[in-house]
Amino acid sequence: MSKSSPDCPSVASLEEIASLDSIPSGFARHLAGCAFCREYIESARFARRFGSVFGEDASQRESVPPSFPDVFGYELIEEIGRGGQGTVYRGIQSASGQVVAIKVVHAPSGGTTPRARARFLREIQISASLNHPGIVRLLDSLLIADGREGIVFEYIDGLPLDEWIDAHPELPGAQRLELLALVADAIQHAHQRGVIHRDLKPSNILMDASGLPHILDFGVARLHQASLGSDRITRTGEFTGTLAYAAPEQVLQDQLVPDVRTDIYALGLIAYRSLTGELPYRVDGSLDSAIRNIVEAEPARQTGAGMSVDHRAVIAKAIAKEPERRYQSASELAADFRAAAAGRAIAARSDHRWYTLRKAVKRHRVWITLLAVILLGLSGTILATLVGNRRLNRTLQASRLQQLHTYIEIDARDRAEEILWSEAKHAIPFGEADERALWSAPLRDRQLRWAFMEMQDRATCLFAEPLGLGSLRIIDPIGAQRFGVVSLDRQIKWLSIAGDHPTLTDGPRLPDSVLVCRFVPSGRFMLTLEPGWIRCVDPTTGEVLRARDISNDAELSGCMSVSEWGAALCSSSGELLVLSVPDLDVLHESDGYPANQRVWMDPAEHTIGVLDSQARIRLIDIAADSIEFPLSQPICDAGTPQLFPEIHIDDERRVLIVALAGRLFLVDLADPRSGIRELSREGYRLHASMNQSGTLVGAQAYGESSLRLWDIRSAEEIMNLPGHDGAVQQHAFSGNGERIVTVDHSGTLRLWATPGNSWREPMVDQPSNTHRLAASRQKNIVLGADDRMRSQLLRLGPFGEQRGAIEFLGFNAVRFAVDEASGLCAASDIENNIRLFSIERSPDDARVVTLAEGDTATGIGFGTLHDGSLRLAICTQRGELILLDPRARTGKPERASLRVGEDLQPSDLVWSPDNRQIACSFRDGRVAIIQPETFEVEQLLSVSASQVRSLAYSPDAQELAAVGDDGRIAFINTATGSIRHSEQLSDSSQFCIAYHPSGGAVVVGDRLGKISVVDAHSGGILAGFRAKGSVMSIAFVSDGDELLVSALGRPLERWSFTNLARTLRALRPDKQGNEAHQG
Amino acid sequence: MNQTQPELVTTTLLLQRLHDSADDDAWRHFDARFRRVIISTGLRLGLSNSDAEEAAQETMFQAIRDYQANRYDRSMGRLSSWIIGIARHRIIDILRRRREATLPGSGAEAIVEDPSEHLVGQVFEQSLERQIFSDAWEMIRATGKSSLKTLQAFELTALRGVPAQEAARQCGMSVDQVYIARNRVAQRLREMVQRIDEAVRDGL
Repeated sequence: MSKSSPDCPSVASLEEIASLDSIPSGFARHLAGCAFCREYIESARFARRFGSVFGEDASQRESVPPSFPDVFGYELIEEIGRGGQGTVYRGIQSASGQVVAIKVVHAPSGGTTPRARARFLREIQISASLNHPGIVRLLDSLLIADGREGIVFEYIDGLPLDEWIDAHPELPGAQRLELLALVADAIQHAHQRGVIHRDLKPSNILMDASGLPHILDFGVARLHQASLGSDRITRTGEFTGTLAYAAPEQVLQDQLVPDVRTDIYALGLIAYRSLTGELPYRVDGSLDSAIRNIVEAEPARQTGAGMSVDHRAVIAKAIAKEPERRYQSASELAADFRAAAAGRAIAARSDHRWYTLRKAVKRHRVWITLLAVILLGLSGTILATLVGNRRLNRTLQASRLQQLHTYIEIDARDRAEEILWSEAKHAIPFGEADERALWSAPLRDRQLRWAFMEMQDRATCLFAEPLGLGSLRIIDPIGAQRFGVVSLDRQIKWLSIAGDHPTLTDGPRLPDSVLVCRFVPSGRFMLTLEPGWIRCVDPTTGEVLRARDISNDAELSGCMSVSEWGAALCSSSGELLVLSVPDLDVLHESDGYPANQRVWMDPAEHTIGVLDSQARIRLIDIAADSIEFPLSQPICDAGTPQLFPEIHIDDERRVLIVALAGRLFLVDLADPRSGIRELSREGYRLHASMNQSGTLVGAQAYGESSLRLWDIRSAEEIMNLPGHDGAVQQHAFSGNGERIVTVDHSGTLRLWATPGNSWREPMVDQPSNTHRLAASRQKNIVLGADDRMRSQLLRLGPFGEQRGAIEFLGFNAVRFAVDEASGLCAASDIENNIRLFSIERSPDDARVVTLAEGDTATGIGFGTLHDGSLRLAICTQRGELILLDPRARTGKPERASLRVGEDLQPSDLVWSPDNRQIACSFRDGRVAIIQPETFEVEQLLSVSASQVRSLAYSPDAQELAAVGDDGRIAFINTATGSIRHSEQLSDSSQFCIAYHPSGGAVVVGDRLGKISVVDAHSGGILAGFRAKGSVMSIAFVSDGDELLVSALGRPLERWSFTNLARTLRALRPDKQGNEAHQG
Repeated sequence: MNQTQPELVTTTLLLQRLHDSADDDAWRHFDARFRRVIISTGLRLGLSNSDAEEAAQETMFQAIRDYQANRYDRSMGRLSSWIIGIARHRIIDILRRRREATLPGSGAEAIVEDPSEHLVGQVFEQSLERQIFSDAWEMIRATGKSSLKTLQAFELTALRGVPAQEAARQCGMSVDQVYIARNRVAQRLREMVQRIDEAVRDGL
């Protein structure tokens, strides 16, 4: 025989439970995990049965003369039902003569204190507000003479759903589904008003004479809490009633606040029963097996008997064990019921692409074309081998790539990854350094790598691995790079993300009774909440430091906020309780708030931020007992249901984020006139989080799989982190705000970098507008000029080190040029001055050369003549080319005129790497190739119909690339002058271009902020990145490992393509094969 | 034959040995197993004690004779149905006889329904269950595994409906101990019932 544990109820209580028809609230969960109690109940019940069968008085039954309770205002006619919770009578309202149904509850529910009564009345109020033809209207609630509760409903003359269906066996499956869709509609109506049924079953759905359903007991299920001796049992839970239609999470009691998806589950089960006549798993055996079946067993496969494949799919989705896998709203389920009834494609199976197509074929006789096949996304490689046609192969492969980019573009990252990894298996071998392969691998390999990079630009993932966490209860940051994690089975773990390599170490395990837990920000303490108790625990040892009995206080939900100094609990009836940490003394109590709030707590001061019932934000200083209203108006209009509010404020109280009923609001507290901005509106509930510095806010909508991030300052959405394998289940910003950890439903942990904190680094904090970059790759120095023509110099340290500051050089400049070999720099200004200086020495020692009046430089560049002497080439506004000897102290610069006909206006100038040519571009779209020795214009090419803005020579000087307003790159063969074009990059002007030192690719920046990486040989676009501002200038540094990007209105950024390329290794799922290759 | 625990012999085995008319044991056990069930069935259907005994006697006699004469085999259905069929006829016979005896023929025919096959079957099952429970109880008491006090606690609370407080006083235990004791016995009973049930229904 099993042993009892301290958590087991008393023997007297067990006896009482054994005498009831059904398992009462709160106890089912304990039962699921306690063999002793299960055995007790079973034995007690058997003893009872044995006695009744065996005893001589077996036939004797309690005969109570029928008498109706005395209900004021109503006349009871007859008893129409008797259940575990109460007895239902048909009666007449004396005043109006209206026929009603009155349910008299057995025992006083939930207690008899004034508070309990107030809570009860509030529940009634909410339920009474439901006005829908499919919901049995709750009319009144009253106290009966003997102290019991009575609830008055409209009277519906009808049969319970299961009996009705059994009485109509000829009803086809499609009509049954239509019926269920009506039920789902009614449920949706209630859900939208925040009312969850919690006890849906066929006996709670009445069918009237016209065959329409009416749902009983909406929102009153929780009122039927049998009161038992032990406080611990009565305290919690919403679950009551028979096990048959209970969802796994109800049985396990894993959440304190119930969910719409619990109702979805019940409806799915009802559908199953309606179609087949039975339940998918046995719940009538021993308690043990019933609970196990509900939580674990897969539904029995139905052969024939009214269930088509589609029906099965819809029901399977509705009754999935994990809430995330079910339909996330009753309206979705209703839609699929209807679709299945009509033979249309259902959402439940939409993942299976063949299925959708097959449905279409069946209904519309669509011919399956090759295009349709491609669109279905079958692996290009596999299909190609099947088809065996080379040209087809290429087409299919190209379309696969196209599809990949499309998915990346629309942020369907999980789909994109699917394609990427399946293609990578064949196309991206291991063994070669990722950073080199980026520029020199075979085209297909590079195409995929760059697509990967593009995908990572949208949201940079650094690590992804199933860590065997299973589902998580919480993940809380407890330091710059550490998190406290609690798994579903209450195991504490420590997660370190140092070095971007997540590691988990085990801590102690919490007792099974714990339902909600949070870590304080330092990680020193942990608060745990269980029915009737809150405890302060040392998370390293599991030792309980302090415990507080809260069973007499607020009926608690799972909404707890913690800070170093306190914990704030908000109940489902709007009561707020603030306790000190670690002593758990009461610091503050108040009520009248919207229910289930997650309040804000100041990290240091004893101040909390709450939403009040008028939707206004209050800052309550607990110590001073004062209230402040940081905003003069309410956060939203009166019509918004006050469901699940969350308040977040940054440490400096500059930013306020409020999540409410699926809406996300942002307020700049420093500038209240800026108003309230609504960032998002999704679903009925959001879980939001903010990084400590108040620059980023993340929000995850219940029912949505992805986590979205907004940049607070610009209020724009910047990242969309998808859920793979279902929803993102938990997420947390790291303490230092640089990382986000997400855990999805399957227990896969992903580490993401917040923008600016991994491969793309701002070099300075403010927008620098450093244009016209000129970089010395070897010296790692960058020169540039800003909008105000101030000269800027930046020194590049190793990537990822402390951000530098801009050095202002003290003179005006518009353009720069750098000679790598000599270290000589030149700067031209808006007038006619050229400043020459050496990088090594102070720029104050510069030598200024003043050109002739009107000789404004429009392009400058260093080069070497045949004799080895250094020259600075300058093209002027007047269309002249000047070669200046920078070392010559005297003498006039050589010049020649470039005018060949019309008025040319030069835009840019570059000297070829082999020093044999100088190229000059013009605003009319022409490019001149000039011989530096002779000033001869070797070629004058018409490159574009519109302006050419920027030029770049390939490192081997074979080609000259030009970009401008026509949105594509012109590659000019320097020997022959023939021109080929790249793919169209965009419709907007391309401002700047740079070749990678390998010559394999060029990078182009455009007016709208797009940076395109183009394969130099084929001219095809490899990837597009988002710079978020017009790209004025780009330059490769660090030998091509990094790209400097200057975008308008943004700080100068340093992009490490190398670092980003290396993340491929960490993320590709087939990396096990790599281990063998690792040196 | 399992002499020590005849209740656990399967019906199948009993039937096999029935064919050997010299196997007295088998006869006795088969008789013991079902006679009391049929008596109980008769009683529940309204027969008097003596009538119920007579019905049982006639049923057993016919059943064993027909079985030996191979008038029953599996293709005719379950054994229990067959026995129930015989018992029903015997009970109806007796009921009619008694009716005729008490209602002198006056022309007005009293319309009385004979118990249906379904009803007799139901009652038979109830009686069988009762029999099994009774056997289990006897066997538990006979094994001596439970102390007298434990058995007394069970008997008082489960069988006699004595309130736990009173039973505690009588047995010299605490109320909690009474419940625990009762449960222990209940557990053993449950297991025993299952074993006997399996044996009885094997072949029935």
